Amino acid sequence: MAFSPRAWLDERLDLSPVREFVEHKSVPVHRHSYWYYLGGMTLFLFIVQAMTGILLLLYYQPSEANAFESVRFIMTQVRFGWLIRSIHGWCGNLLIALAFAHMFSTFFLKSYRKPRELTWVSGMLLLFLMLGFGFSGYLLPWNTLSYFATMVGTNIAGVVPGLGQFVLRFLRGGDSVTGATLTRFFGFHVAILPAIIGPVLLLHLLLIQKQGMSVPLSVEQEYRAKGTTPPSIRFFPDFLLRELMGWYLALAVLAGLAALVPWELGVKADPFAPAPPGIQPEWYFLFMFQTLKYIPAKIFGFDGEVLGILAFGVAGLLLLLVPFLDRAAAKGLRSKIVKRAGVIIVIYILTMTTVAYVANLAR
Amino acid sequence: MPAMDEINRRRWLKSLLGGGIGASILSFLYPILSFVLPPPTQGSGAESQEVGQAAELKPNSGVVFQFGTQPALLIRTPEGDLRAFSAICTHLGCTVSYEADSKVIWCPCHNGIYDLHGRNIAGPPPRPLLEFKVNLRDGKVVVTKGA
Amino acid sequence: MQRAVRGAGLMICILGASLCARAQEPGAAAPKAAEPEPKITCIVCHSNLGGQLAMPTKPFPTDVHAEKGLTCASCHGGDPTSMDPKVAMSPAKGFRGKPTREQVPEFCGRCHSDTAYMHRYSPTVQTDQVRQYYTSRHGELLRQGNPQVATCINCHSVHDIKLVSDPASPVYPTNIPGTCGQCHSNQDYMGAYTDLPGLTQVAYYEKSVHYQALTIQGNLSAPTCVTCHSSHGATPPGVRSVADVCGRCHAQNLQFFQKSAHAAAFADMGVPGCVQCHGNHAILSANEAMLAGPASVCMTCHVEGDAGAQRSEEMAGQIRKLDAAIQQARATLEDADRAGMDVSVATAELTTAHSHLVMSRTAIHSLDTAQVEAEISQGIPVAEQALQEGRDKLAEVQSRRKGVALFSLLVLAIVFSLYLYIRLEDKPKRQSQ
Repeated sequence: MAFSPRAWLDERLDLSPVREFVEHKSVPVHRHSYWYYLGGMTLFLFIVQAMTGILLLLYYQPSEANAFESVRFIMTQVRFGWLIRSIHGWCGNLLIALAFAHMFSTFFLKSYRKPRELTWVSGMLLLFLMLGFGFSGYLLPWNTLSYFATMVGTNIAGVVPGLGQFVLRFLRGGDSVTGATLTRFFGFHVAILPAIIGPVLLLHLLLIQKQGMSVPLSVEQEYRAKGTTPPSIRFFPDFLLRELMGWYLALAVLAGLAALVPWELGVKADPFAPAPPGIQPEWYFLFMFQTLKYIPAKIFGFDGEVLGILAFGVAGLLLLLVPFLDRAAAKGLRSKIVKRAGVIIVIYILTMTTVAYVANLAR
Repeated sequence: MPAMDEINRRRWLKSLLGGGIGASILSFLYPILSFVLPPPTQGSGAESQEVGQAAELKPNSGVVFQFGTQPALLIRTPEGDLRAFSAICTHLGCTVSYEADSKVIWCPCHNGIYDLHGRNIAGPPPRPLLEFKVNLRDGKVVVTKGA
Repeated sequence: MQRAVRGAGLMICILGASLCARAQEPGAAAPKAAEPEPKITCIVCHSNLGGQLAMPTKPFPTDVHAEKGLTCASCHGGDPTSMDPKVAMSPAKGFRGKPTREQVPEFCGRCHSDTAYMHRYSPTVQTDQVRQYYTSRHGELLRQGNPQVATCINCHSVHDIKLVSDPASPVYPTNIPGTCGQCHSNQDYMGAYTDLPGLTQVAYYEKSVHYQALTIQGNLSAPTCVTCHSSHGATPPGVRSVADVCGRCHAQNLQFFQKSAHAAAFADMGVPGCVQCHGNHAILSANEAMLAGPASVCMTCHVEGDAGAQRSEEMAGQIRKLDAAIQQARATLEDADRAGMDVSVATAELTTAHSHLVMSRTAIHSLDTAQVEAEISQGIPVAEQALQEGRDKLAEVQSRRKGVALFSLLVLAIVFSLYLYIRLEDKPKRQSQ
């Protein structure tokens, strides 16, 4: 009898439940089903990030003296170093953009409603962790822009009453951004955050497999009225082929971005040099940064900046807990308030980000 | 029952797709493998550098070499010691060289003179030359910053 | 300060009585370690006298002489062991009291001109200061009975004298301009000396590259007043010797100058060498504007269109060409570096071009356009090559971008064929529905 790897594995692991699951798994098809691919694309980019990150780790040296030099080494001496670094840089940005898009799509389709509350919460945690990845990774090349952006970013954390000074010193590893901050951020970026994001990501994916794709509330209502359920396609190979198309599309956009604006080396950070004008954090923090600029110094006797930061904290918490707040969705009803709040948030973020960019361009 | 040309079309498309995806995977692997192989120049940045065989440099002579983005000077004193300095004159930034006749390091631009420890001893140079650490590794001279 | 010293000395004379035999001999002044510390009555009385009489007692303990174990009596004589002023300050005990201004050089010279004595403290110390002083303009005028000129104490201070290497000393390199300027920038004090060129020397010096090197760069070997004028033998360098004074540091420039036609011509005209173009005290950083253009120093003697004017224009043009080529290359290399390209080889090579630029600026003193051109023609190709390498690297950035863009298009093609394939796969299902 010929050797069969499948039989060999089955004898040892008994993969039949997995096979069974894959064979029977199906994904509903309706007019909103293309939103399903955003999550897969985000996952794909996350894998690209992990792989390129591990590659960069082979040469990167996290110290004040060597960080910039080692990035220069990667870009100039290591073959395809420029490509790997450019992809890691752009992929991080695209990943966060897609994670935001994925979050808002599930928000508006109300996929967070019962029984998928935990999926939503784990997803929100993933988004926060990714922002942490972005913030900590941005400093690592130790160039002028990243240095001062980190300075500005950590300053904002320091404003929070009570905890602020502790957080500031915890993030910076001291009173100002130094080599100690770099070592720390490196630790966050390659050890602490990956260790946290791993289980959360696993939970998120397991929940999705367990519960299947959510049918949007509006679609569900239509079919309920007709007394049927929406049609579906097989997960393998039909859905996976479409998913593959999404992954390749993400890859094409990634390469396009890298071609359009190659990730530069910049100029080595000099902690004693004056900050260059127009220093901004990464774009995904810009809407918060710009808001804090507009808040008056004093509101009803309270420090405006503190109130602003607290407001963002509360907003983040509300968003995290939206499945428990939106009672209507759980009952199969569409809440107009939640929808409007979502629309306002999206418009607000887009406006503030644009304003920040335009203001910086004008300067 | 699909038409014959559609079966052909599907087969053609399938092989094209397989080829494309296969090629794209190869195009991921090639840069990754190249990246993993260490580049010929060791170490990151220009903290340390090999400068040829120690035996090639005779006593009472010096050689200018490129160290990072700047020229540097490796000398062997008449007594046989190896020393390395930045070859940038501290006066106006000309490249200095070793003068075998007078046994000094000399800058041609304004006749600046440094002794064999890089100390400015005559002419306009305001500061000594920056000194680098010199080590021998298997008979090769290794110059390191931060002596 | 002078008046204070004079007053203090006067009172010491009045109070003087006793005499210390050991203090008379300079050789006996240094106390032997084994002996118990002799009681110094000078300070006991003078510190209680107040005013000018007490003044020397305060700074003296940190004076370099006190640190070496000398006492008041080592210079002023007398007997510091007696509490009786009549005994302690009696001329019979060798009391010398306070010297007049005319006596000051010899007063200090008692020890400082004694080679055998001074070598006990430092075997390399000079002992010709007083002799040199009398060759100086200050010394000459003092001999003629002019008490207004500087003596030892005007520059070194009196009872708080420090080593020259001590930053608190008024003759520490960075303090010298201020010390000379005390008199030489003072209109009231110097007004009578109409033979002096003016009182702007220190103010002008403070604008010079030398002062910048001294203060901003902290280069203590940068020339101060005394580097050119000497310290104890302070005279202005003569017209002939200017080139030699400057040439002590700027040797190459001097050699070119001395071989040039200017050397003889300047001597005939009686104009000083270097100073004619560079000035004396306000020596600014030299550049091509001194050769050509409205600020040309050549045109103070040469006229438009003559050989000298043409040559200076030509040399300036050549140097500017190399300067511009280097700057362009450097800017391009910096762009490429920022983009993450390896330009270390070209950047290192560019320093060679910079060397030729500096050399060409030195070579203009030969007035020989060929010598300048020789430097320029060696520098230009280096700069051009560096520029080309920078451009090549930037072009490589572009070709990388194109490569990545092409890859992006290929991936898009895969996406499109996946789309077609999915449609094709779906067709039978849609038909069956």
